[in-house]
Amino acid sequence: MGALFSLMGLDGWTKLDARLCMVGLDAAGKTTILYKLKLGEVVTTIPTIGFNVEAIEYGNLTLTVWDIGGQDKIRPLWRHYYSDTQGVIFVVDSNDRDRLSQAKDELHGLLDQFELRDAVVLVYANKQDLPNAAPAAQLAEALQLSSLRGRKWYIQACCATTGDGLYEGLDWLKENCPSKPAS
Amino acid sequence: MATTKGRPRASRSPPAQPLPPNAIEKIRCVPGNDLCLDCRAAEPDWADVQHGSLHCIQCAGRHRGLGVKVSVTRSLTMDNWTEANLLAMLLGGNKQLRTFFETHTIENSDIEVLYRTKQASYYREQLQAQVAKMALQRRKSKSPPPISMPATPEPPPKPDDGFARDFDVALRTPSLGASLTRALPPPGVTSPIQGNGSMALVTKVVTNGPAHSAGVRVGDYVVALNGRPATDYDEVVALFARAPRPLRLTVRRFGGDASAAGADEAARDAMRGASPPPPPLPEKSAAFGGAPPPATEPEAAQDAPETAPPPPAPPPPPDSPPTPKRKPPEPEVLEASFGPGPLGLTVDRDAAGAPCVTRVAEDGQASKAGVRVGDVVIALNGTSAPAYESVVRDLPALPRPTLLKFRRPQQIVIDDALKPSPTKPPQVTRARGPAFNGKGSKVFAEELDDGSTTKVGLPSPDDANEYDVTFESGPLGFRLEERGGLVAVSLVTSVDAAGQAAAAGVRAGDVVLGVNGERYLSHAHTAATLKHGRRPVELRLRHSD
Repeated sequence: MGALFSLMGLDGWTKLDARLCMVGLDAAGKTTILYKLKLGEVVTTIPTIGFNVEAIEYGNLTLTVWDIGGQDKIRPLWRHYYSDTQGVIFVVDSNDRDRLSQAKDELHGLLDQFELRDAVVLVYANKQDLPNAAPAAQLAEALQLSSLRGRKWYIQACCATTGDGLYEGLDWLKENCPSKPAS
Repeated sequence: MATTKGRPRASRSPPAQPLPPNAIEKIRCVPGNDLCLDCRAAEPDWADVQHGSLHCIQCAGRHRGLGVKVSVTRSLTMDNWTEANLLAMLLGGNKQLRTFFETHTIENSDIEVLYRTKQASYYREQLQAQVAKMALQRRKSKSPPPISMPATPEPPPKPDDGFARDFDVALRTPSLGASLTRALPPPGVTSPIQGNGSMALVTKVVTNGPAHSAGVRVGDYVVALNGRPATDYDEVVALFARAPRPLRLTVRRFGGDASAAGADEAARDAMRGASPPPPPLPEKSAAFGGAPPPATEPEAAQDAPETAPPPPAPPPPPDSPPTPKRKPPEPEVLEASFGPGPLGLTVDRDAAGAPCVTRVAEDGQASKAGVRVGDVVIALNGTSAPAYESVVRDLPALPRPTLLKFRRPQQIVIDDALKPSPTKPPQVTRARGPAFNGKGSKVFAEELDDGSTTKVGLPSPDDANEYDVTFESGPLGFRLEERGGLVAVSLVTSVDAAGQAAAAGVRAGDVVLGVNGERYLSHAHTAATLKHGRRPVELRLRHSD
């Protein structure tokens, strides 16, 4: 499907760039999503200590996605990646109901940051393939997305290992993420 | 928010926080934790708190892919931990889990397969049930201070007064050759023990058995297994059943110290982050009757570095009753009147110096009165708490009838064995496969030793060495003992040549896999079902070869 959409790059008269931060609790599936989008395949990941960064071509849009490790101790480092960021991809493990409130706190904490005042938020409700995954609507409630005033947000149910839902999320980003012409 | 039962992150536990260095050290000291469970890489840094195991970062990455129902990974250094997470690591361990996998011959499966097996799921449930139980005990006893609470100032250590002496027993056999009983600490000894305030007391030592040859005596207390302190009777029994052999038992002979610090205490110390051995909290000491500061036990500490420091050891004031913490099982008191003639019992000094019954003659007066080995004489013709010397001196000379009072602990025997009695004729039907197969897919609710319930499925028999035996009536004519591993395997140790088990082809060395369609039973459960359960009883066994 990605290959198909890449043809659309011919239709776009301008190349656009956007810089995105992908964050979330540890083991939410951030790295798996990144490489599924980049390579189209499922890689065996190890916990990310530090970050991964990849440029993902999607139509006429080039997304520079920073995938940042989610371990408790390295979450305070997220803020160093916020400057000049147009969008946040927040990944949640839909099965890890015990830590939803923790995820909510992290999400709201990062959106309080000044540098992210204009950033749009795409929430990936990941791991929908597992039994007992919470549906996206329930997650939206648990994460209190509706309390985000004056913020563009979108929650997309997905499964990183099959790729289901990932491009739907990118479609929303393409429409809503403030991008700038490629230099 | 809904919290899943048995999950490591319990809602009421203190908030998660980074592991202090000594907690990491304690986790690394758990047997087998020096190597990654899956690939045996050195110095694993990533924990799977669902299984209580340690892994390298690569294997931890694969564990994360199993989903949080199966595997929750935490970094020793980069994640916040809850108390339950830590308890899981202290109660678990790579060696234990590997032994479990080996027992079920699934240790060579891929991570993606292995941890999704029914066996692994069973192990998780068992471990998490234990964690939940211990966490509950800790909340009830209010022993854990909030993790963030600064360590209380340490009272000056008191020199070791030699009041209690620990020694180790190496055990290679499944059985100890001794009976353990839930018992209060010796009179006059304050007990800092958590939970139900009972200890594991040796009440019987089989002559020439492993315990006997190691010098264990009636009246000793088992306080640690493989250097891991065991808090109370239940814990000792649970650990004893699960621990692989050879097993190092630490036995404490009291002059007075009734300390037994558990994984419980270890966890508290660890979470508190105190590097020197933390003292008991002041309010806790008060609860124990204002005990003096703890004595240090240098040898014991070197021997088992993860052992929490020994709690207070005051000299025993005479006549003072045991002071267990909360709701101890009431010691049963037995009164017996003895007429003329031999009493039919032998009294010896127990570890605390109290007169303790060490032998009861069959058909003697004591036996008829219900006196059991391990009972302690607490009154002699109205004289309460007589000294051992006065009992021995006065008893033969006292006018009869003589009234004796005994304090007796609840009798629960680890080393259960099924004793054949030659009264009923054997009626055996033997079947291969189908008898069990009929119930193959059924899911049973099993009441576990710790009171929790778990569901286990019964796999259908596929091993050529497995066979079923139905006993229409008891006695069965064989003895069972326990073999190590989390799931205590019941091993047939001897078969009565004339009994019905022998007639059915049961051989020594066979393993009992299930009873009445239920599998994965604890040894105690199996033994109790066979001994006291209804007939007919259906057994699934496996020949050892």
